[in-house]
Amino acid sequence: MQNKDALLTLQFEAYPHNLKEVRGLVCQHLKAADFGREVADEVVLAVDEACQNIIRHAYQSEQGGLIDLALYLTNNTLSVELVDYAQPCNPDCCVPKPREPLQPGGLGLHFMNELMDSVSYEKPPAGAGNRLVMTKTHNNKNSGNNKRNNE
Amino acid sequence: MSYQVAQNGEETVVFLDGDVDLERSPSARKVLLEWVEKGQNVVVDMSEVSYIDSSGVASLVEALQASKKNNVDFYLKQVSEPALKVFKLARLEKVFNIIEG
Repeated sequence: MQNKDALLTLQFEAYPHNLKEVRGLVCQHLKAADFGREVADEVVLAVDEACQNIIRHAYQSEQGGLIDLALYLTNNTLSVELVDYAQPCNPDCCVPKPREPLQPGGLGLHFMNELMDSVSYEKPPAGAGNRLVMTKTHNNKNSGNNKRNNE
Repeated sequence: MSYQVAQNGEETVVFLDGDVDLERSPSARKVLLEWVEKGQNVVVDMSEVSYIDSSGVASLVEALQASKKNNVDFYLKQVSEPALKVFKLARLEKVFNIIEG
């Protein structure tokens, strides 16, 4: 998953204990690209939740799965790509649905959709199971959540 | 990996700290449910929480719901700024009983 234009490319095993390091690397590279703390924290949480969904639902917590993570910045749009090698998921499962605050399940997906401008499953590369793409466009890389700021 | 617990009169104070994430939230869930299901009033000190994700939030929601079933009090105390942001994102900031002191 090498790309010279990527802010970060990373392959790691789909274990919960790897997520802290992944969060740290994502935050570090966003800050190096001049993203402010607030935006970086939001993207980090969205990435973390996406990784959790891969671990828990795509790989169903089985051991040994891999996750490819890449961050790209094109003009003002940050794209996050996550590729796994599990069985393909139903693309409809990432469509946000209305939820009550105390409703079990779906909170991670809610976070991803609240924090990012788009969340979608796209055609995975050959040999992969799923490819999740999240984007976030910012006129000001230091200001926080566009959706909530516009409310 | 475990969390510190202290007795304060009739309350059990559970101190969550650091990252309450997919790796550590099972421990948080276990300790919170343990004390709630013993019939203890529980205060969760969140002043040292630097990060919380949906799995950590879900542990607190489950403990809150268990507290209602067991007819005990369940409060969050000194919620750190990062955790409060996540509660607001989850629209839970008014669902939890949050005390400042």
